[in-house]
Amino acid sequence: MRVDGLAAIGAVTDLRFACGQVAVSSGRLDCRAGRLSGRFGEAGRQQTPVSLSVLGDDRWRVELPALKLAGGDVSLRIESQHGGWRATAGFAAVDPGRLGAIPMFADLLPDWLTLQGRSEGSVEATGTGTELDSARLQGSFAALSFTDESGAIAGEGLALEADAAFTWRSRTGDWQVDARLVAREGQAYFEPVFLDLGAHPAKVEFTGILAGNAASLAVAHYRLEQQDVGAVEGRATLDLEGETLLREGTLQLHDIAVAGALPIYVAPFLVGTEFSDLQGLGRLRGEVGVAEGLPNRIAIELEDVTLDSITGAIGIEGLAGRFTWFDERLRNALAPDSDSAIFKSRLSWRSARLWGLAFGPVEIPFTTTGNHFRLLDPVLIPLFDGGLAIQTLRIRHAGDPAMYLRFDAELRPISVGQLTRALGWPEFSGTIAGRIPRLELADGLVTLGGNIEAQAFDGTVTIRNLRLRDPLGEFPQLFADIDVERLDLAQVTSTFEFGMITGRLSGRIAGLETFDWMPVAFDARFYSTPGDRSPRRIDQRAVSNLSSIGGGSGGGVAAALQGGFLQFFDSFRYDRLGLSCRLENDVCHMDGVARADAGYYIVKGSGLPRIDVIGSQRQVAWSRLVRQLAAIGASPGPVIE
Amino acid sequence: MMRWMTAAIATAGLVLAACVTINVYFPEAAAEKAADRIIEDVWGPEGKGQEQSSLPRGPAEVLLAAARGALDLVIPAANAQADLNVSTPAVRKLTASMESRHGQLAKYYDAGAVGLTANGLIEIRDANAVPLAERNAVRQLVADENGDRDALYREIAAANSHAEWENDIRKTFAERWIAKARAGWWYQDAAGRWVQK
Repeated sequence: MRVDGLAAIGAVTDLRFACGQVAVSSGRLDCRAGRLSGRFGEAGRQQTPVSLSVLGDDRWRVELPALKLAGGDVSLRIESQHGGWRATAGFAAVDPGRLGAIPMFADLLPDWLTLQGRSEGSVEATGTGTELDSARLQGSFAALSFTDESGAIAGEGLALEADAAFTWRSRTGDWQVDARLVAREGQAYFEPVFLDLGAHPAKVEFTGILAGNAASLAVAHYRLEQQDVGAVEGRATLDLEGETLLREGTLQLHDIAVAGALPIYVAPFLVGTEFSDLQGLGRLRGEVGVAEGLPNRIAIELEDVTLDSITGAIGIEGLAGRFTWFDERLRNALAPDSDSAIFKSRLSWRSARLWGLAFGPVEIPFTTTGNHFRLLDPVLIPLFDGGLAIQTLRIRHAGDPAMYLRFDAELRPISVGQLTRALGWPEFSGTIAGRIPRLELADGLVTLGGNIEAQAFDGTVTIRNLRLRDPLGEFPQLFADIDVERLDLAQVTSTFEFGMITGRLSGRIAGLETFDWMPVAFDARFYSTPGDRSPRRIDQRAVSNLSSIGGGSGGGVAAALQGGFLQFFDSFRYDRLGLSCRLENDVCHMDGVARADAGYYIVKGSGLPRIDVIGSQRQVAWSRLVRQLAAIGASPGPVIE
Repeated sequence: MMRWMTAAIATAGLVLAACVTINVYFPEAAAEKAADRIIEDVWGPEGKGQEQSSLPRGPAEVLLAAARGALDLVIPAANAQADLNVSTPAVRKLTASMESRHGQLAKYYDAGAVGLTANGLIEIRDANAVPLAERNAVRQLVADENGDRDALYREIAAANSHAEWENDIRKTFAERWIAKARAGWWYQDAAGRWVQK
């Protein structure tokens, strides 16, 4: 026997039906202890007890307690009365992934998803004729896995509990849906967001209207909760067929824990940027609006938020206040009728850190629209004993190759000592101050449109052509030319514990290039300031240190100085001194102030007793030179007896 | 007959190479040598029999090899053998950074999750070959590796005072990464198709 036309299952063949016991009484027919068997299309071979009752006028009831479906067991009971019917099914160990092969379920499961798992629960449905009027699914899914072809969407070992009710609304031709879904175990990935639902269980509830053709879902209200993250609620229009799921909606953020939300929902979007390892603390609340698939409005209040990058380039502590953002279209639409205050953000922090520099508390008023940022009023950010006064900060097209940044600021005097200590350099004396004019960022290169001038060691240091590549990246690069003028050598040498030299020093470091903050190339030249008439003297320790740089043995020189009559002199007069080093490929090519017989003069002495320091090595490995310089700072120097 | 054809192609190659190389002096042989050295540092020394045979296989490679042979003849040995400087601190730091990252990346090359692209970078080829919890870590590894590779090509060009060589260096590296890739790894051919080695 073959029955066609049951398209919902497929062709049914080999159908056998038998009643063990038939009872007929006053318009009622009961078939008890019956058996039904056959091959039911894709639903496969079935063999189940059956009981059937026909209760007269258009009323009947059938029970099929042992059906097999998608690897599991299903018991089905259908009652019909006056054309309407009610079906109740209990199911256990059903693999939802295998339902897709059965025509009546194929439409319910997306065909681009490979699905697998175990489910149990019940379905209750009512209908009229061939039409479904309502359905309710209560069930649980275990060991649920799914993936699409590219791996952009995937789940593994998920445990879900679902309770969903669908009610047909014939007047509008759509479905009222009320659903609740709890996920407690397993992992899911919606590129780039990874959810560990075992560690952070999640719950979603919503009520909405599903279009008759199931193309869209208008969610009147939803509430999403995730442990350790917080809760989000709002309304949403979901496009179930297009590219963008969330077409339009609102997200009200309730008391979101930054520590939980940042790594799950923000950090994955920052992969490949300098901020991908950002961690945070604190809380925030607010609202996000979405239109045409993209956020168009953000208004959040932050409460004592800390952001910190593990690699340590940046960090902010105690961030608080209000942040608003509008996309340009919405802003332009709202601007004519709105108080401009709604576009303004105002954030403050207790402290902030960039590299080793610690900035003090400040409140920053600004607007962000689209990918543009503008500082509304000048601010003064405390930095050590001075500060950074920012007059202009404007960023346009952030994130685009066409990104434009304009930054005008002034450095209020800062003691160089604090600055160098923070950066882990030897402590200098003096102050640094001056304008930081026209800082621009383009093609990943930060360029300064002017010079930075610093007062140090009673002279001036001018940094020209400063450029930074990847300033917050793993391997920052710095390029600059530095001029030094009239440094007081007495201060320099005492700072670096180099001995004592008096006089003035000028010079230039041209083409300085650092990689990961270590110099890799420069052409440096330092010499006694021409025309300077201050006394020029150099002590024994400085002589021996300088000669060790020039390739002599510092110890040998020290011994020579102390051995003869020279030991009676603490210091010597000199005519001029100078040293140059062109660093290239790890080698420092050295020279002095003048040619000497066997090398070059580093110090040309004058008067009696006369001491010349003559360098012999023209090429010194940079690493060796750095070691020598470090040793000089640490050594006690020759002992004068 | 086949041998005669090869000879003819080789001659054509010689004439061509003679014209081209004088105008554009990019030390390709030296760049290959430099690339191989860096790749060995990053990936570790190769196991036996894993490197692709240096004998030409297809006609296109015959032509290439012929042209390269011709180049050695035409260009004075001193020029053609000019070493590319790859021992600057920047190149060393980048190489070390890539080498330490390779410890994490290797299993994803092996699994076919990550492959070598035709422009000297790497790409996620099959996210399904990566456990869910590791997918973002792999995205980060790939982004970091590509950042280092871009910087490496730029730095080698800069270290040799020829910033304009960056693209040639990238191309040389792209070929050498693929040539030195382990059997079973995936790479993109010139048409952008994934091929398993």
